[in-house]
Amino acid sequence: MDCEMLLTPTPFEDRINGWTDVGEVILEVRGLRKYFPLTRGFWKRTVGYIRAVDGVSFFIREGETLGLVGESGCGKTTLGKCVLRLIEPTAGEVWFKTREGRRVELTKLGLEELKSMRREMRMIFQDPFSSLNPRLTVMEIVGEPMKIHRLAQGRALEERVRELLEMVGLKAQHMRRYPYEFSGGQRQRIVIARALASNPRLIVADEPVSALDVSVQAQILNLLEDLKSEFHLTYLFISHDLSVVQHVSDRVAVMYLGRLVELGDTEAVYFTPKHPYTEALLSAIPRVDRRKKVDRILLKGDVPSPLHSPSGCRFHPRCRYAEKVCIQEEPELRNVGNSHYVACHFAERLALRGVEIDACG
Amino acid sequence: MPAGSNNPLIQIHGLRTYFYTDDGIVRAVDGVDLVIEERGVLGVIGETGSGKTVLALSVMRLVPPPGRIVEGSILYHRGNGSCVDLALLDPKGNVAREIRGKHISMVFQEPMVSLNPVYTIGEQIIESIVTHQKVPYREAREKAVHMLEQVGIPEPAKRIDDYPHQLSGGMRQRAMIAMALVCHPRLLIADEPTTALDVTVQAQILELLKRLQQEMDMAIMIITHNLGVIAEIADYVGVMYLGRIMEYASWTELFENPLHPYTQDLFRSIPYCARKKDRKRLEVIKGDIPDPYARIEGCLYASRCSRFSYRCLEDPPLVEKGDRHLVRCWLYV
Repeated sequence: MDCEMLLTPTPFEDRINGWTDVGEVILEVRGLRKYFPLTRGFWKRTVGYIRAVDGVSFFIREGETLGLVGESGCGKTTLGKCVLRLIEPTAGEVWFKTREGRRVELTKLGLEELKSMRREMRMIFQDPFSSLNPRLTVMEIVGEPMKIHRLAQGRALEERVRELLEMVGLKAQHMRRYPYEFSGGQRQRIVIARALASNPRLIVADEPVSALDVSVQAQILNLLEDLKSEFHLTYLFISHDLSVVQHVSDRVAVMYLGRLVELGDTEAVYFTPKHPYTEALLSAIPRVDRRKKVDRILLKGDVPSPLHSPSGCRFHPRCRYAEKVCIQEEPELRNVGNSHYVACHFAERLALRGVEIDACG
Repeated sequence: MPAGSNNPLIQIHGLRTYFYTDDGIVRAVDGVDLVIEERGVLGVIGETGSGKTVLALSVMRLVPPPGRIVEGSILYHRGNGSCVDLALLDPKGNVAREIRGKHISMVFQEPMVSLNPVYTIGEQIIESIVTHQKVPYREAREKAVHMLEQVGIPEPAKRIDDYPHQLSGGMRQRAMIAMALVCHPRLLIADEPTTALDVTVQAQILELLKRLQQEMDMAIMIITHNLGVIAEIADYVGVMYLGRIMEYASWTELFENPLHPYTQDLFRSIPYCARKKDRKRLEVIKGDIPDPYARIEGCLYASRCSRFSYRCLEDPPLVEKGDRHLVRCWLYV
């Protein structure tokens, strides 16, 4: 089976150009797809494709934080990596606006050009225990991007590392130490210092606080917020923790089985969700305030395998509002007003519940 | 000792579990008093390194060497009026073996790690039945199927022959719960049972635990760092920090009226659902959790506490403030 055959264009991709009130867009993703071939047997025959990301389009404005939520296996991380071309997307376009205001299509770039583009786009990974090389000192880890991009060397490099470490709240004299000598929170600070080393403008943060304790999580979230305003950063913030995402994001995208099902302002998505999946996801957030009784919507079963996505709307087997049309037709992501995009046939008709406000803090 | 408990199932008193490592002594559990009531749900909140898992392992008598219980008692009230001190038992002896798995059982955090990958889930559940009950294999298998059905695994008669890798994370955790509950224990210890799971699956598992707790008339001790999870399920909560219980109260009381500075800081440092205009910067607990080898004199939280005073250099006692609300802080003495 040829991979190209699977790539049927969706009407949405043509319509994306009609996006209005976009403002200064730093990143625009159009119809992004990543299919992983599934191989069997000794000869590694391709028997199918795992559609990890299956036609995702969105944009991020400059200086904005776009939160990306979804359950594990929905393709959030793959999407984040495809955006930076850390893995090659199967199809789709990624437009990035450089510091000079040039718009470049990342998927068409040669390696040399891509490398220079990577200076401006960095990634923060989830687990600070596995994303740092244990055999390098902090100095080497943080200094490496600057060496690769020939931004500084010798004295200047050391000075810059010192500066970066202090920026993220570490002591500069610790730069000769190895990662194992630091706690989880401190390691995540090293990861952040390294990401900042090349003066990036866009940071893809993949679950940056998921591996951390509650008290440390708050420190890192505040740090990310401070750095954002200080260096005018733009974040694509990937997380499965809905409370964290609502805290940091200006807009939120909800992903299910390789597709965006809802995209809009954080306020709109959290308080007036339009997609049944978002509603279920929000109602599943464990609530600290017990006085507020929530009617939990328990989703049936597990997320289906991206190898055999359900027909029509991918959410229909678990959706409590599903009707016949949902099994046959795949809904497109469409604007239901105020740049609130939803992929549901019944977005206008359903009255869905959002989150309740916690009265405390 | 939390007073006024009328139906204790487990009474932990002055429990200390230390690890004697080459680099020094780690005081993982350092003087814990707790009560688990019959049919009650006790939550233990704590961050990494607070000793909450070691506390659970101590009750199970599964503390791995070089760790051992050095002091204190864990009284287990058997249904027949007699009482056993679990801390004094030989962990490999017959009594401990009988209690573990049959009276008290445990669900671990990572179901992929705690299930044996080379046996089917059925074989692992049946093993637990056959160990504790004198039943023929066929009947044990029926019981296992029934249990899998009770924990909400679809087509249990078919899935019983699946290997752990054939199940999803949520289903694996259900299989773990089935294994723990198949002998109808009186206490289930759940150590971070939902941490590795997605929110939607987490909600399912918590509902399941609540339902089974009612149906099977058992007590649950749930250990987690997630305040939301505790709020969902626990009646009473102990806040643990560096091996000690800093505060103990019912969840409603703790949430509305947290007394210990650590509890207050913890509540302030998590993001809440709020309107954008009300969104506040998160408050941060300064510093990191201290080095586990360090011996701290006085209050364990003193180095990070915003209300530190000279008195904190001495160890504060656990005092009762209000109805079954205990706090270990000089502010309330």
